[in-house]
Amino acid sequence: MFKQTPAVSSGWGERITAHLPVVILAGVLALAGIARLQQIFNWQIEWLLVLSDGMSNFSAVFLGIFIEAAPYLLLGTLASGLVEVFFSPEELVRLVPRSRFLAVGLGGLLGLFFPVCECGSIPLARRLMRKGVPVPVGIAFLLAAPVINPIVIASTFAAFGNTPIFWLRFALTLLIAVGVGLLFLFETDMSQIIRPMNADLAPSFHLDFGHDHHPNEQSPSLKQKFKKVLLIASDEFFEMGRFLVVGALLAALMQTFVPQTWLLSLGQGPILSVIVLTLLAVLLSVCSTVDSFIALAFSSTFSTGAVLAFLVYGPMVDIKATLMYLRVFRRKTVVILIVLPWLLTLVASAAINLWVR
Amino acid sequence: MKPRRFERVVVITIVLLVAVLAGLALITFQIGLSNPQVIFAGEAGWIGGRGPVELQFQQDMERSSVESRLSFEPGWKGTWRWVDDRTIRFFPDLTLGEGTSLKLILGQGARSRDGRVLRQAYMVNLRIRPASLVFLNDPLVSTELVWMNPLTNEHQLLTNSGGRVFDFAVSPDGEKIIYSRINLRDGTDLILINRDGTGEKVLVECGEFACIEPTWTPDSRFVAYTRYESGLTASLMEGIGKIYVVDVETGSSNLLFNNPGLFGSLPVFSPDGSAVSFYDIGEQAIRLVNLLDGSSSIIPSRVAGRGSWSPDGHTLLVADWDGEAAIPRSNLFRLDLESRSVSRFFEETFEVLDVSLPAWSPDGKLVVCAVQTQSRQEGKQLWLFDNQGQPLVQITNEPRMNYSSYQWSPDGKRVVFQQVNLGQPDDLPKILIWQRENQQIETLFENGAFPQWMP
Repeated sequence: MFKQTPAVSSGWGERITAHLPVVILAGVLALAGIARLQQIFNWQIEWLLVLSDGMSNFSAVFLGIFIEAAPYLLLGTLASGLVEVFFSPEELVRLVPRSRFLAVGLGGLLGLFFPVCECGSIPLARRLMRKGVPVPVGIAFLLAAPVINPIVIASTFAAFGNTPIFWLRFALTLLIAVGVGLLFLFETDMSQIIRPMNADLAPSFHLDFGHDHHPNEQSPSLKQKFKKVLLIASDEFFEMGRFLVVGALLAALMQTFVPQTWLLSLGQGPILSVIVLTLLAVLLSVCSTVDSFIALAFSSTFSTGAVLAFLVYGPMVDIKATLMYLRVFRRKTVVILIVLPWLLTLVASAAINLWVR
Repeated sequence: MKPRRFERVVVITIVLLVAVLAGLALITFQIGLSNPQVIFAGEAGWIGGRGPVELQFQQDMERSSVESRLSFEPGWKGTWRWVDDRTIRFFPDLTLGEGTSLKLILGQGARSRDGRVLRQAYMVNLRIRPASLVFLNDPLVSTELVWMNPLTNEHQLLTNSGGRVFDFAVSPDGEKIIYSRINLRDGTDLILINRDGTGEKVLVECGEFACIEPTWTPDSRFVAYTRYESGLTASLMEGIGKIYVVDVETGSSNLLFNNPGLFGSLPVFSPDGSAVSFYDIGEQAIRLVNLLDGSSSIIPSRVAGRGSWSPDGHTLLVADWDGEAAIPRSNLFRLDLESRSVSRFFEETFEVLDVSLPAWSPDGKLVVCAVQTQSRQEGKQLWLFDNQGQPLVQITNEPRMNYSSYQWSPDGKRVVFQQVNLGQPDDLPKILIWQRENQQIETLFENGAFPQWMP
């Protein structure tokens, strides 16, 4: 039914993810072993005691991040499979408005139909771009979908109610996502943006049925189509899942061994507080569906703008999402996707701190 | 290699955004923190002798940066407490005398959470307004609350209840009055009004129950009261009540203690609000409860009455039958709350037949008390004692009259009290005032009772 196609040469992101898990796993096992020895022999060495505590925290944080994100990754890959099987590139392109500006704006709102967090939006965005949706539209979707979707709207409302923070979170996310998407209209050569494997739409497998390849063949049954959806989803889940595991490991390490209290103690002032909470959002790597409740805890000690920055930037960029971006985009693009939303978030949030209370 | 168009656009955008961010940082530095605002309940600049002084900011504040920079000139000891991140209130330890001028200062450097800094010290001049009086008018027939300026004798009705006011309490900050009003079911409800009688609000509806004996917490936020459950008249005869506390801001009312089997009446809070004393009917004793840790102790007293706290909160005076006397007589006992020791308040040579609960002067150095010394047929007379029970002055000396409901003015220079003619039961009660400086007594109001100072 489908045939294997040769894999495209591995890039930097892939090399990293090929070796990082081994390195990190070895490191974690070594640390866990030392911590366990400390417990057995009751060595009263301060750094060993800290390490011993840290390891149990680390495993709890890692599992927390992974378990929280995995269902959404699965949802995203399923959505990606559905798009692949049920929509032809022509159909998708037809749905995109002719006006490029309108198309990018629509990309920012597409999340309303795909309730996924950042882990799920990446494979879905990749699939959409593969199927012919313009890259700027895909990028607007990628950045906005983790926030502008029904689940996150509901959870943000549950945490903040009908307050300025609730409305500003969505307005700001949309503005930044569309703004960054529009910037990508200046790029005419999409191979400069996305990695070759994705740019030339070369998948690791190729479906042997479709809408345009063999028009005379009999269309597959619905059962076959759903089987294909599951095959694509599982393949993509394990492909992206590697990045999720590595991202979650890194985030857990950072959370365990970089003291958050120290970071938070830096966070005063209309601009510094925003910087601190954006860094914390990256560090915590919390799924956008639950980050409102964490932000609520910060709202008593941080300015409105800083809390808003946490809610806007965190879903766009965090440790695990960054590693997954590396699977889809060129390194230069990933840097742009990290820096531009960060600066836009800083400017908007600092302005809110200064002029809106 | 020449940068491509997209790369140039991205770099320009990043440079622009960094420039805007730098501009915002510059603006932040220049804007600074807006001056806070002092909230006055009445005329600007005038506050009560016990505050409140309330400061409101336009931004959420870094609390410690404000607390460490707030001061009064001359000094006024007390506690600053945050209402929320933008509002802070001062609760003084001591009451200031009327006419006192002082300056509230917030030093430069106070910071908001968003990083704005107060660039110049903020100062505001304050004056303590003259204390006025509130009492019951026509207490035997149609009772209403009356406000009076004791300097000019100017007075006016505060309530229009159809003569159904039962008892009342003025808040320590002088901004509110709570009173009990007899309802159509012969119970009493608790009503809250502003110091000028406006803003009437039914705080607690009690139906057929009698909610009376209101008493304020020192921070003027809560009112404790006794709820008698079998109607006004019968309940007071039986004396079985339960103590509730109501939040005057939200109106939520609950039992003061989570013990439905605890019966009590006549609650009084300690000056710092950390303890409450009340008459425990079951134990026939004054029960003292530490509200911070829930611990309690009892001071046996067969005379159902309140305890009287010294202003420093270290001493509680209670009345009880004097068991060592040959003929039954009541006496005053001093409970030292630090050493937990009990002793007679009056010196041995001062003969007492009956005594009412004393009133401490605001500085805690003097005590006024109504005492019966000569004959049981005579009324109780007012005496001034030092805080060791040594008699200093007999304020009244009219055996036909009985004196009660005495209270020191917030500045400690005057005592207002009530006079009833024992020989002429039809005579109306009077409100009188004693000037400590010249020891003169003058009548303030005919047909009034239960006067209380309103700072």
